[in-house]
Amino acid sequence: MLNDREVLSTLSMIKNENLDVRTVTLGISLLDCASHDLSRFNDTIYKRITTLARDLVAVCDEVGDRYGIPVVNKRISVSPIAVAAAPFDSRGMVEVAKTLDQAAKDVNVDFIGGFGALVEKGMAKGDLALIDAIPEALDVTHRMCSSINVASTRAGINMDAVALMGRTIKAAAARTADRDGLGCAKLVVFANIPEDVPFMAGAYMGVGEAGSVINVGVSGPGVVKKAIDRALQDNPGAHLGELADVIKRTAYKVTRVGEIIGREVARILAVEFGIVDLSLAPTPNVGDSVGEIFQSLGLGAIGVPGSTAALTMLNDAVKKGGAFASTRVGGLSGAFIPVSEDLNIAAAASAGHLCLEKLEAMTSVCSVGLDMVALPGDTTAETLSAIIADEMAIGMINKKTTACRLIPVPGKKAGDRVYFGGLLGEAEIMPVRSNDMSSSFINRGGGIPAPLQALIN
Amino acid sequence: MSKFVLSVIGKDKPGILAKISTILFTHGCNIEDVSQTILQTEFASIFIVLNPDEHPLGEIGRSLNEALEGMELSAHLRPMAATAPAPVAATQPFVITTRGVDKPGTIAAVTGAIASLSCNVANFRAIITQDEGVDEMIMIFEVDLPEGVEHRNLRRVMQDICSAKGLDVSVQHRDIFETIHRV
Repeated sequence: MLNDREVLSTLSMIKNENLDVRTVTLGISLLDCASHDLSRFNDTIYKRITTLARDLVAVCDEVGDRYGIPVVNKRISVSPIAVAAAPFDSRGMVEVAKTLDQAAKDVNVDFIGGFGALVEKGMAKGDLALIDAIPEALDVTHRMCSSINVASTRAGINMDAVALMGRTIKAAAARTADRDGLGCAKLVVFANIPEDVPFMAGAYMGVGEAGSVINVGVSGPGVVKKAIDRALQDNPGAHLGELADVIKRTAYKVTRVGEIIGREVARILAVEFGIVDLSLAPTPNVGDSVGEIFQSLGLGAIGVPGSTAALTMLNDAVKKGGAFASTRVGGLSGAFIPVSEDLNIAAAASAGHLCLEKLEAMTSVCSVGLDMVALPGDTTAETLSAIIADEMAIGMINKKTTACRLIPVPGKKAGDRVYFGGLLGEAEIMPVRSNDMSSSFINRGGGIPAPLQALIN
Repeated sequence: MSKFVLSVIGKDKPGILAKISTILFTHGCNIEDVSQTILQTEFASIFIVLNPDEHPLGEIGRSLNEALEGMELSAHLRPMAATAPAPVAATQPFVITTRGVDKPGTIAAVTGAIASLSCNVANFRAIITQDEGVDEMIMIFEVDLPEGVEHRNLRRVMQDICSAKGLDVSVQHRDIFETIHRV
């Protein structure tokens, strides 16, 4: 017999605190679709995706309905296209992008990820063709996301790729200038990219994965904030260790939801169940914000002194609760701090509490990086590359994932507002200090060697 | 071997179960199953009792009622059918939760809708709370939905009746609650 508290607290988490399954992502390997013939390749991948994902949306809705937990997004990730479509030039890659976009549209998923390359050590012909195609591919598609891994703890940082990505981001912004550089909101540069991340824009199907797999991303910053608020109401003198425990217990509950939904969807689709990624992923809605958690913990706003410590505690407690709740936790699992996608973080940036440098410091302890950061349109490609290089260095040396999703908004300057719409949100453009002072460093190219795995103080 | 069902209701106080079990023991009976609950000040319990010596139920009932009368309690006994239970059709457990202003006829309407789909109510609790001076009732039904009935159908039927009665309703598979709250 269930007790009243179990029933009522679950309902409250769903109805008042935005508990949901943020994404069920079907990973599909396209490696065996390889062909030297472009139209044959496109036909094969279209057929593969639309066959495997035909029932994805209906099954997610059915399972979500049964448990009364909304599955907000249904998505697809595919093998890195730079590998699967290695023989083609950049024009061919754009055609592949269109095929992916059409397949996503036809099975009614909101995003498809995997238009990417793994170039942490060097760039092959297919990698160069794909990166060259990114600006046009992001312009002519609607649902397709791109991710490029340019660094890893074992390989170091490929500074040639970092330089190239700075120029690519500028070009993608220019091609989508009429939409505030929207193309860049679907492009992420990674260090240590996980192979099983279900969240966009970084989702792709790792080359070490099975033929197809269901990965689930659960969220719930609102649930965590409310749990902290309730704990403080019951015990206003609660210390941080006690609040960390509250976060951990809450993360456990949220992850369990992802586990049950993911397993059921995988069972019905007869696809292997992969991982649950427990990430506090905000949306631009009140009550669904990571920034609000900082305020509940006692900080005036995210970005003020103490924020890195608070984020450390939050990120770690989320992982501990999540790891216990699921048979397999993976992906990014931690706290996201995407500026434009979180009303509270965007407001803290507008008010001057959160600057680019503080954000960078915080990314050394959170699960992603400089995410959805709008920058002035005159930020040079080399400066973008230098910001990326700094972020990649944090990931490489700390053996963690870091990423950059930077949007240099054409024609706009620091303090101007940008609107991306939907889940991507809106924000004020952050100033970049000392623009155009890193060119010589970036243009040296080459690579930053992989770090020692000992002597790590 | 004969069995009987015993129900005891009345004012709650310490010592009720001790009294009942002692009397049953003196009649050579064995308690097989028991469930009890307390609603506000009232005690209610139900026992399945094995009666190996075939003591007459009237005699056991008299002993119980004589002992319990002074405690403001009464006992009722019924013989239990010896036939094997009918095979149970496969069902899925769902939880229906409603919330709204407490009005006469609400429970009858909601339970009627549940019965119309041949759902068995395995557990039911109603909690009255005060919300801004108005009595609000939360009802939690644990029901067994026959496999042939779509859960969307159950949801639709519940939404129809609850919106007519001004209640919020949710219908969820029971597993979600256990999964979230139990290790």
